[in-house]
Amino acid sequence: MSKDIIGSVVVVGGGIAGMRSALDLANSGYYVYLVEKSSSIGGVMSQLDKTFPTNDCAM
Amino acid sequence: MVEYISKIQKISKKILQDGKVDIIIGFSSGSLPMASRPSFIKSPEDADKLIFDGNCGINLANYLAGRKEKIGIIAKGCDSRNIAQLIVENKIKREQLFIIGVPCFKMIDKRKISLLFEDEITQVTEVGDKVIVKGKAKEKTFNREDLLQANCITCTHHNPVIYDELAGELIKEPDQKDGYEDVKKIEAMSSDKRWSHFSEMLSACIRCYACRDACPLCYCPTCFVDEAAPQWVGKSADNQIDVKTFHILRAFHCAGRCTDCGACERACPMSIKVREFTRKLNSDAMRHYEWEAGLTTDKRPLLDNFRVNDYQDFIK
Amino acid sequence: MGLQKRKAIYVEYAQAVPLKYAIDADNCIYFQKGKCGACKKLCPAEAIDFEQKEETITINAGAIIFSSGFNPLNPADLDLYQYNDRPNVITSMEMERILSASGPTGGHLVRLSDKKEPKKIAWLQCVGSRDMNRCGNLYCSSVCCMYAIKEAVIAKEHSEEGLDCAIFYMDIRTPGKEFEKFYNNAKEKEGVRFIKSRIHSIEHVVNTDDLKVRYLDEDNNLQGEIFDMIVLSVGMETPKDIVKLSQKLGIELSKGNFCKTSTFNPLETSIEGILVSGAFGGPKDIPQSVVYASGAACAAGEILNSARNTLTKTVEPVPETNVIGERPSIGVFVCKCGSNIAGVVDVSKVVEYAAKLPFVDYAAENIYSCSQDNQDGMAQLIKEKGLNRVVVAACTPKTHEPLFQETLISAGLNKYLFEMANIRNHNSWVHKDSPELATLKAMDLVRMAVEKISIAKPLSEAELEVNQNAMIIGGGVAGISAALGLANQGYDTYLIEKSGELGGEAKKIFKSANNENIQKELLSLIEAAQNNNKLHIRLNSSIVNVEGFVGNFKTVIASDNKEESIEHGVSVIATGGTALKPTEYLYGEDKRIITSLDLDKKFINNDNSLKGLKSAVFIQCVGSREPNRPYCSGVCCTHSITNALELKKINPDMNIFILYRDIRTYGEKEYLYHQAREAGIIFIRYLASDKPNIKIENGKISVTVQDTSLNQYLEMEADLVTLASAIVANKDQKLAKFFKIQVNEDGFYIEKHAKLGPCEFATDGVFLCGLAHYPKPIDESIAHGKGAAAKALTLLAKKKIRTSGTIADVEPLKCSSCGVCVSICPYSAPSFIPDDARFFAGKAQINPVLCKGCGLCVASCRSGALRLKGFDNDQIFAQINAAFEEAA
Repeated sequence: MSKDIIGSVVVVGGGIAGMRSALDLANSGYYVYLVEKSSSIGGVMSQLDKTFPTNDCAM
Repeated sequence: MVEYISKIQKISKKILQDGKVDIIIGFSSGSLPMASRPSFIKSPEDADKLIFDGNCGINLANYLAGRKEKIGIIAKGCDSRNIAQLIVENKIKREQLFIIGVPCFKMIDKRKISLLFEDEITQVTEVGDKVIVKGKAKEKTFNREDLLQANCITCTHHNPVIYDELAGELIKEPDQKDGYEDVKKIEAMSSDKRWSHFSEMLSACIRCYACRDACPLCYCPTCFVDEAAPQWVGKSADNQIDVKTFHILRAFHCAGRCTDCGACERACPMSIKVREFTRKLNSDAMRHYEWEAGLTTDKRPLLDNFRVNDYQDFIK
Repeated sequence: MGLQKRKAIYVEYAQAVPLKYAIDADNCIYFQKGKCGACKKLCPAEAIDFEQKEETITINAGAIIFSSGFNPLNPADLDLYQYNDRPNVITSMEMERILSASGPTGGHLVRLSDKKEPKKIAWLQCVGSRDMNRCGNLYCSSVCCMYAIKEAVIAKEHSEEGLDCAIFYMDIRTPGKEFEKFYNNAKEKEGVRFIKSRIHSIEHVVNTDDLKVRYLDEDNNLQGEIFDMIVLSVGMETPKDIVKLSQKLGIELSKGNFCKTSTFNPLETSIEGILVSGAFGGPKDIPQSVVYASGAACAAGEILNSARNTLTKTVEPVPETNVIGERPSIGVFVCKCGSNIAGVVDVSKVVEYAAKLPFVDYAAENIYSCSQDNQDGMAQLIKEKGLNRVVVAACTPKTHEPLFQETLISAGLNKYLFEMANIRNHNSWVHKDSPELATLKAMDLVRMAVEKISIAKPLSEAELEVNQNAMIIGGGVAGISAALGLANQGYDTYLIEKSGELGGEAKKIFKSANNENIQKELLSLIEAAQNNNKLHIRLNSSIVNVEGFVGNFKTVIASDNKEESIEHGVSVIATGGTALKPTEYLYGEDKRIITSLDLDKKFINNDNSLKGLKSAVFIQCVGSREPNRPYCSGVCCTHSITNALELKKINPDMNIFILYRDIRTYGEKEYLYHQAREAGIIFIRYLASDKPNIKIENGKISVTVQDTSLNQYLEMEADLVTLASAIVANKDQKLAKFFKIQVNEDGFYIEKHAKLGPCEFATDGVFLCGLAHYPKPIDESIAHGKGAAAKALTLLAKKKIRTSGTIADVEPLKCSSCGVCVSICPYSAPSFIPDDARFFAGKAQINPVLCKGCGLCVASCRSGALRLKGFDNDQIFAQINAAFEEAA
């Protein structure tokens, strides 16, 4: 069984969660396909203004 | 006083003979009246030269920093506090020291005598609470109380805080804590008034650095005033901003460490009351943190402590 | 988003990755009518390809993570809100865009009908959430209360002439970390009005663009109030295509169409190998999404461990150019930040000025310097022009310095030859009323940066090995999950537990919100831990000492009077929390007055005494949301409702009252609240200022409470009173000191970043999960544990780490050995050179690995022996001197 395991992961969705999963996996030694429906990643968070509590720009 | 001297000589002789120490740092008589001078005694025979009187105001801790040999040292209250301070700041090790503690009966300010006694002084004798001053033409007896060094008047630590042997009985410390009345007076001034007060006071400074050199806290290999790259402060006494920078910065370097031993003021040839700066910081340390420097060897000085979650809501 | 027309060829947003234009086929004349093609003729790069078609690509992968997110609900179908008819009714997402500097109004708060600044704005909560009748979404979207409060506070900041903000709500749900404080602050300091109500309708005020909100107040009286603008706090929905896709794949969905998960497997879908993170698993805010995302990465790693590193490639590093001895050649890039900077500062004037400064060989402006194409362009320019130093005048180095430094590295430049001038936060944002002075200040800031960087030297970074063992402190569900996450991926993991058994607080809980038997599930989790040969469990153990730092910790633990020293590369803090022992409501005086966990114990033990009960009262917020503990414990509402339903199972006729302040059954837990009301459980809201009162007379307990909706006092008899007591942190200052981590006012550990770094500490190599971070239910604790494991793993996987270049450095000849630096450093970086060393014995030295470059030691060194690399005295002096020169 174990020799059939493929060391790659498909992450569906390029929002904050998808990007985080993808980065953590890539940094741990897995090949990652990040699939996003729209023409850029960032998701809903990229449309937000400032975030609580640091008031950092959401970008 | 006489008992002190014989005890000091006896102890010193013994520890030199026993090889407990290589050197004794104490006082011997000066060539002029009221000029008892620091002396380094290396042989038991010379121990007889050691004296102690009201003119031993110089802080002997100033001679300790960085010494490698085993040292016996005569320590009044303030000297002992500075010794404790130096131990904490790694300038000397406790094991290197044999501290001969001297409960202090307060030091005399020779400038006060000079002002009150117009003749050339040939001899000064302390008898109990009286001081007998002899000149070429006259003789006068003063109350010792009227001649004291300013810092000794408010002192609340006459007894040495650390010692190996005492040269006299411990004395009763005053009941009252230092009220810092002098500091309060300056604090009450308007900022303009205060500025002109300090400006006037410091205008006499000749930048001789006697205050710094007499201070047991000033042991940096290169003092900030001597640095050239970067030049933090100009070197001449002509620029009053530079003069103020020197005095105020030096005082801040002493914050939380100063024992108010008075060595700086005693050393100043221009009679500048440099203690006004350090006293303000001492009073703040007391008021906000109940901190007095040099009372223990287990705690770092007040301002050497910082924790990331220290109260800092005032930074906004 | 409908606020403004988008062109048929577009980029999503200015900092988009990848920054490529796309064609909107629905709006393109060519695609719709078959002719035009102007773009094709005009594009100099010949990048327009009308023939591009959808391609189907097949990918073979070991696992899939679904983080398909959510759609903000479209309120168009909810006639009540008049979203389609009235331009001044907008959604909260549209409000975000209006408040945003890169939004259609350039950050100016105006209403859409007449572009006038509004004086009164209303937020209507629960639009498309907690609403079975109108939209069929019974669940709570969890995030809307908090974002509405945030928008109201920011809107007040934006407004120049004072703005009245009112939030119409059913329950305010702010259970997240520091949320309750933000809510209190908005209410008490910022003057945001909170109106508990149900919306009746919205009426257009004749001859104006204003709108009247008609609502039922708490006493069920119909009220009306006129506003300039209405913001609909829209909820979250799983996109329709994702629902379809899930059904096609066989991924089981919940009632609310979110991915169905279980309490002990919060990251797994119903299909093996497919994992879930983000809002697809239920409504989540940003930090929760990040926690679940890292957790899912860990879960995927646990499945694929045997194939790790088989498909990855490493990037060849670009060799660094040696610039020592070269004449400085500085490139200055001035950023417009959309209108953030350019709206105030005359950017082209700044560029013109910068070009004339000494050693500046190139100066240019960018709309967004942080965008991908500008990064590429910058790297290109560095190489072409032979620039050896770079200044970017833009925003803050706190967020953007690493990005620009990467660009320098990619161009072969040492990354410390870079300087940022913050002409946004320090300038355009604060001086928006004096554009001319702001432009001069921007010039000053650029000149200072240029002066500083012109004498900068390249700095080097040390490399060190990462010990491949992990240590987890705390054996509750979070700790066990973290430990398994690492052990299952092949790392020797030490799990340290102070008590005699694993399981922590979960040991005391009866059922989950999903009606699962906790003890059964917990047992299998503990067994998995015990049976893993990479996982080394140490019970009855405490931490005696910790030495070292990221990658090289050495921890001494004491178990049963014997000490053991363990070397490890990473540490996870999972020390948990505990239930508060109440000091009010006569707790401890009568055995019928108990806490939620006491009741759980009765359930677990199948206690017969529960069978005879006729009435039960639950009191919420016992010790939470109080002045001395101003946070919400998050789990208690759900816990009480679960237990109340359990009591109803025992005796359906039992009278059950839940006395609450706000019911906070966030997410799909709302179903439980609904179910409880259907089951006849009575909910009575009380005010913090008038808490329920308990009396015992003649052996009978009676509870009196003022019902805020009836405005009268009710007295009820109770056979059992359950106090929903707060969760308090297991505050451990010693541990905090050992690992140099911080604790907040409430006793919880402070994570690296409230939004983006919930699983790690600011101290490198130390990670955080579970209740030690903040109160949370079991599923969130498990996800947090896995998340912390994932973050720890990314560090272990590096095998080697680099230290920072901007660290303190000692000039031993000036050092007086006084030890201020050693005493004052919060990171233990300075130490004394040993006495037996050949050179400089007793002088201070800095451990480059531990030094964070905070500069505390530099500032406190009286002897001037310390300096901070990259912030050398001569650099700072150059900057200060430059500050007092006049801009031309």
